[in-house]
This record gives sequence, structure tokens and C-alpha cells, in this order.
Amino acid sequence: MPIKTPFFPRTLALCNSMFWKEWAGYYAVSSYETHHEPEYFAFRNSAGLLDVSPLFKYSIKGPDAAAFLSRIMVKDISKLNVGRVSYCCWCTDQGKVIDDGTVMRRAENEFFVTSADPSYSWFSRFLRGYDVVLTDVSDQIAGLALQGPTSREIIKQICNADMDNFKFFATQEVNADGFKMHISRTGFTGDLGYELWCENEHALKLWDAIMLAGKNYDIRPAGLDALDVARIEAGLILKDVDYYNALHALIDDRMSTPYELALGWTVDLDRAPFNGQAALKAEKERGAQWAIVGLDINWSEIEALYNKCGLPPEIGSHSWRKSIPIYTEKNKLVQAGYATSGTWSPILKKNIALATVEKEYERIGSELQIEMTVEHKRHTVTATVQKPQFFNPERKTSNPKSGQS
Amino acid sequence: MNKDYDIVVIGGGHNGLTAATLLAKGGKSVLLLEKRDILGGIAAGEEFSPGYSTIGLLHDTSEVRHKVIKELKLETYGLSFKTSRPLVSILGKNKEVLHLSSDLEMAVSEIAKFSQKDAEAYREYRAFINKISPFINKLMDESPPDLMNLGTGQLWQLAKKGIALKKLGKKTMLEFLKVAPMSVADFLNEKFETDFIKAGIAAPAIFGSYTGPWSSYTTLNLLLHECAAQTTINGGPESLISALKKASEASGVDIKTNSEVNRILLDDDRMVTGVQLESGEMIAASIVVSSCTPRRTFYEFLLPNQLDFHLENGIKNYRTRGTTAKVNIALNTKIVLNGETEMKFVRTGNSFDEMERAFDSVKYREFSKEPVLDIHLSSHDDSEIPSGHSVASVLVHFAPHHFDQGWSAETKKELLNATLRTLELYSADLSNSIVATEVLSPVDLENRYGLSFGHIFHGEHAIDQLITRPIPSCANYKTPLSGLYLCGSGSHPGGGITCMPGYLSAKAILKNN
Repeated sequence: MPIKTPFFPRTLALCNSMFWKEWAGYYAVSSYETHHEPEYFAFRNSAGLLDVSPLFKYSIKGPDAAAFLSRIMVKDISKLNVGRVSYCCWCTDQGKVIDDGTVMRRAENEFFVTSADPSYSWFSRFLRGYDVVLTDVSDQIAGLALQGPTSREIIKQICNADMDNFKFFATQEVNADGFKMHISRTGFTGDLGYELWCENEHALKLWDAIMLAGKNYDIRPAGLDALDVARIEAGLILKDVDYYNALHALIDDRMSTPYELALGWTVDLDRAPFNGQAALKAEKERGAQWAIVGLDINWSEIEALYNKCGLPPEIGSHSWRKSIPIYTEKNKLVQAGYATSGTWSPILKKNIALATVEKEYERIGSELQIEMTVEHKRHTVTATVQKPQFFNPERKTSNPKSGQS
Repeated sequence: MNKDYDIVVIGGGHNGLTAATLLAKGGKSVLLLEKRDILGGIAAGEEFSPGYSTIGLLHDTSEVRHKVIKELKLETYGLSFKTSRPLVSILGKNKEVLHLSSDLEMAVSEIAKFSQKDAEAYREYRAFINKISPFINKLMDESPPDLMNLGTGQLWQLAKKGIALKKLGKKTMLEFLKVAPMSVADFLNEKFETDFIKAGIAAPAIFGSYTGPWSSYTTLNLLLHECAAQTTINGGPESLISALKKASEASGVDIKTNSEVNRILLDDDRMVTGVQLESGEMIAASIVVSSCTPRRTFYEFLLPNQLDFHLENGIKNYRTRGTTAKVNIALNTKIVLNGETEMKFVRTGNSFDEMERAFDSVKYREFSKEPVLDIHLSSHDDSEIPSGHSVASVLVHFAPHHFDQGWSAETKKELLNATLRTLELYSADLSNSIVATEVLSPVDLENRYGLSFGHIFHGEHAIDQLITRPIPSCANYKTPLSGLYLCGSGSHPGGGITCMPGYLSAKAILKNN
């Protein structure tokens, strides 16, 4: 049985659709109304409020906290400035990705890490020799993501933060009404947005404050269905959907290196030893075998296939997550890779997907074929390779005063 | 970095000296570093009270391999030895003394004084040992197969071992495969009837390890000991070390004592570049060979992030729970046990139940109040001891490394008293002639000799830690860190004074470099 997050009294009251799913053992709203599109448009046009408490959260404190995390993460965390956030992944000895998440440096010797999978067991295996205290605070800290163009203005109403100078991937501790919380300018929508972290006991107060302040800014509680559409548009990969946790993979072929997941930019190779360093050095020299790409699936061809059957195009409005074969050429069953998730993009008016293809097919602009079943028969449709970031608005990183981050 | 030496060997015990000497004979320039002011490690003879010395922390040299003695020409450096094991005396609580000679007929007639049945059983037992001995000694004298990189050559090595097992003949092979996993108590109960004799024969199977006589696979330990114990070195460990020291110097090894290693140095690709001493001095070398425990080598000489996870975890799970303490006793008389003098190697135990109870103590984080004793007695004739006086060097089983009260002057005094009470069962007025005592708890052993958790074998002799010792990725003396090798008791064929880990490690290094 899933359990309740600290926001459950509010999310339950608002969830008219009764559409729930299980996220990391918690009840999570799929969509508050019977269709998720208004929530999606809140992310893109005003502000959507999402309960992210089910994320796993860890506090790492002590004189060796930076060195400890630098040993575990592919990124050199010792170089992360106080008040900054790093998106990164962590690997096995073989350089295969276990999970990805954010690392926030709240003070010189104080870090906060989020992850998708339980990570205490893995992190704790490296404690020997480091003067740090690692604490699993997953069930002590409540998290909310407020994402969308008006999110900055809403947060201004509820706390003393200097929001106009709050840079992308920065974090700060702020005073809200009677309690302290941490805000990070992070999120999973690829839009302007923030994540707010407070002690469980203040959760409902925080929710109410945000919803009240958001009234004039078209705020809307949002569920995971809307988030999934937004994250695919933003080209953000998801564990267990677009890749497997290497510790859970049943076969080696299901493991991926950061270079194969388009996370090569997060890897700092030349520094003190860290987990997977030797394997990643070799991988970089050898070159990755696979690449994650974006696919723009040709709409006219889809329309034509349905027309042939005398049907209008039937494309689901929900995102999908299943493995679909990608071929090199029409009518030729040579596989270039496989798509792992995709969606109709309401803002781009495109049918898009995230795919893993062999390295030689990653060139932007090249045309591949994606399998599509129309009226029980299999066909292929042209899909053009592009960067996974389908939607990347300037406001995601910009600030009102300077105009940029 | 310019090289100061081809190879640095860490630790000047019997294995470090053996490896260093062989490497120097193989044409390498070798520096041997010893943290203490004397060489020998746990084989070093030491004065524990003015005028009174032991012949070593461990006293059993019966497992020293003839191959090492021959190849290092130790006899030319003053070693004299016999190719049979020394006589061991087993004490019973009712004044029994059994002298167990390496000569079968003598041993059988001694046992017959207590039980005709046991005398016959012993004859059969020795016959079985003799049959499996070629196979066991083959395992001990060869590097273990590299299970991590099973190529044709390695499979052939494995196959040859299988053939050697098959060569024992169907009956012996099946008997070996049946008894090896058994507890030593079950095994010996099938054959013998007299409790103190069974206990005395079984004792080497449980010494030094986290096992009692009822623990599984202890029979394998007994068989390994019985097959390996084929040597008597005059003067014991001390003489062995003296010969090894001369041999190493003659082959050109540079030896530095009082040189404790602080770090093994690696470059960016985790290749060994040398060592840094506690004094800060750096010594450059492309190969470092550690005779220290695997745990000390990886956990103390390297930084945590220099270990891959599998190495970190493998070493963490390599069991090194010390269970042995040492009590040295100086006496102003000749020691008399159960009315007998002139004994050298003496074991107590009395019965499996009493031994198991002694082991139970460490399971529940206490030291045994009625310990099992493994005693070596020396006199003026074989050690630096005043004429007419004697020294009892006693390995006390079982005592844990850590327990609630912890080791202190007070708890060590309690351990001494427990040891003396046990000895007084065989020598009622022993305490009246005591001149001096020394108690070394497992923590003292750790501090003095660098034995992780005070384990005298660097890691338990359990089946999983014997097959790929210490862990699969380090089982062939090389380690995942390029240029770093192991050569101590934590490697095949294990602890006790055999010199074989040092020998096989040096062979492997010379082959690879």
C-alpha cells in the first residue's frame, strides 16, 4: 500500500479525477482533472504546483562532505560553489549509470542530494575514511515543484528571497511565514521553475501560502501526466523509462554510461579518483556506442497512413513509455535503435520521442524510421533526428534584471 | 619520477623477507621496509622481560616449505632442519600426557597406553593423511588458479589439480570430498574414543580462526595442517628469520628498519609510483609488494577513493576477527606439566565440549575463562634464558579483539589469571616460580605487528577465504592497482609460518615483470 505525502490532505481534496499512481511508495496524482492538458499548460503559460516529496533526499554534512560526494559522483563536487546546484549522475566501477539527481551545496560542508531510487545503501558503502554524516531525510523533508512563467512572482509573495537575482541552478535558504525552507531554481519541466524544500511539519502551510499567492497568477496543482509531457519536451531522461539503474539491470546490455545518455558533459575525468573513473576514461577514448537523441516524427506520413484506412489520425494525448524499434530505412529491417518515450507536444504541435540509437545515427537532421501500428498493421514513419531539448525557452535560465543567468 | 628501487617490499616478516630475497635473486633492486626496529614480524624472537626471550609470537615452524629452504639456500645461512615435524605433547586433565611423535610406530604405541582402539584408528588416520598429502601439498605449493581470467592456461592448471585429486584413487578421493567439509569434531568422533586425544589432534584446526571444533569445514583445516607439517627447524622461528635475513642481505636486498609506511603512492592512472614513509620520506618504485594484511594494505596505505567499490567491499567483507591472545611466562625453574619435563610443544583442550565452550566466548564478545592453550616451552638450551629457568610461550584461544569492557590493564590481568588457572590444572604450583609475565591482547597484536583486528593469520582460514585468498581480484598476488602486489599470510596458501605466500608472490612478480 502506498503511503501519503505531507501534502496528501490538500492533493486529495483537489484531485477530482481520482487518477492516482504510485511513485516510490507514495500516492501521487496523475492528473487532478480527467484530462491533464490544463495542468500541462499551467507549466508552460502560468504556474503548475507539483508534489515532489516522493523523491529520495539525503543530507551530507561534515568536513569531508565535498570529497565524499566527489568520490561518488561523476562530477567534481568539490568545485561546486556554496549556493549552487549540480545536476549529475553516479556510476558503478564499470562506469555504468546507477541514477541521476541533483546535488545542492547549502554551505561549505553541507549538501542536499535528491535521487530517483533509494541511494542510502550505495552512498553509505563509501563512508569509510570520510568525516561526514550521511542521513536519509526522504521522509522528513517535503518537496514542491512550482514550475512555469509566473512561478517567480508567486514565490516573491511568500518569502523574503531575492527572486530577481536568483540564478538558474542556484539554491538558497529563505524565511517564509514562520518557518525556514530551501529553494532551488531547478525542476523537471525545462521551464522557469523552482523546487521548495521544507520540514514536513510546515508542508501544509507552504502549500496554502503558494496556492493563495498563486491565485492571481493562474496557479494550478499539476500531476505526473502533465509533468511527463513537459519533461519529454525538455529532453530530460527518466530512470527506468529511458535507461536502467545499473545495479538493477539484469543484463549488461541494459546498462548505460553517461556518454551514452547524453550526460557526458557532467563527467569531470581528470581529478582525484572517483567511482568509475578508469572505465569512463576508457569509454571516452573509445567513444560511446549509443546516443540519446530527439526524434521529430513526420506528421504528414502519419496522416497519410490513417487516410489510407479511411480514418482521421488517432494520436493519444498522453505521453507514452515503451520500447519502439527505430529502423535505418523504410522497408528495411536494419535497426538503428529504439525509442523509449514520446508524446504529442502541445506547444510545439509536433509528435516527438526520445530514442537510444547507435552512435553512427545520432547526426542532427538525419532521417530514420520509427515503427507505427495503424489499424493493426505495422508501418514505419520518418523521424528526423534532433537534439533532445525540443523545447528550451529563454526564460528557463534568464533573470529579469540582467536578462540572463 | 626516477626510480630509487625496482621493488619496495613492505614488512620484514618471514613472507616479506622470502619475497624480497627471491626478487633480488631474480635481478631486481629491492628495498625492504620494516616498521619495527627488529625484523621477523610475528616470527621474531623477542625479549619480553630482561633476560627472558621467546622464539617468536608464533612458535610453530612445522609448516615451513622445504622448497623455500632449498631455493633460498637457507642451510648455507645457518638454518638446520629435519624433514619431519617435532614431537607434540597433548595434556589431559587427569594427569595424562600423550607424546605424539612424527614416527608412526612410536605414536601408535604411545596412544595404545590410553586406548588400543585409538591406536589402530590413528594408524588408519595417518594412512589417509599420507594418501592425500601429495594432492594437498600440490595445492599449497602452486599459485591458485586465476578464476577472474580463466584462459586456456588457467583451465589447464585447474584441470591438473582435478587430475591430482582423481589420482588419489576413487576411495581416497571420495573420503576426502566427504570429510573436508565436516566439523573436526564429527570427523574425529567417527574414528577415536578418548576425549583428550581427539581434542589434542583437533587443536590445530581451530587455532587462530573464528571456529570451534563443531564448526563446518574445520576438518579441511586439520588436513591442511597434517599434510603441511613436515618440518622441524632447530631454534624455531627466530632461527628461520636469522637465516632469511642473511640470505636477503647476501642477495643484495637493502633493509630499512624503523621505517613505517604511511602511503602507497599512485599516479593518475592508479599505477604504483612508490611509497611515502611516516617520516615523510618518499621512495620511488614501480612495484610495491605488501606483506601486511590485505586490510591494512588497502585501508591504511591507500586513500579511500583509490579503491574501486568492489575492492572496498571485498576487503570490508574479508573476515579478520582475531581470536588469539599471547601470554609469555618466565619461570625460575624448569616447567613441569602433568609430571613431565623436557617437553617443547604442548597442547591442552581435554574435550570438544570444553574447546567449543572456549570458542563460544568470542562469539558472545568475551574472552574464555577456561581457554585452550597452545604452548611452547623453552629453556637455556634453546633460547636466551638463564640456566635452569624456563619460558612458556602460550597462545591463548579464545579472546576477542573487541568486547564491551575492552582491553585494559585490568582485563589483561583477568586473561592472565584465566591462563594461569588453566595451566595450574597441569602444574599445581606453577605460580610460585613465575618471574615475569607479558600479556598481549589481540589489540596489542594489532598495534605491535599491524595485524588487522589482531588476526594472526591476516584473515580467517575459512573455505571461502582459502580458495580465492583474500578476494578473487587479488587471489594471484597481483591486485587491481597496477604495480601493487600482496605477499603476506592474507594470500594463498594462508597464515602460519610457511613462507609460501612470499615465495609464490615473488614468482608471480618475476613472471609478470
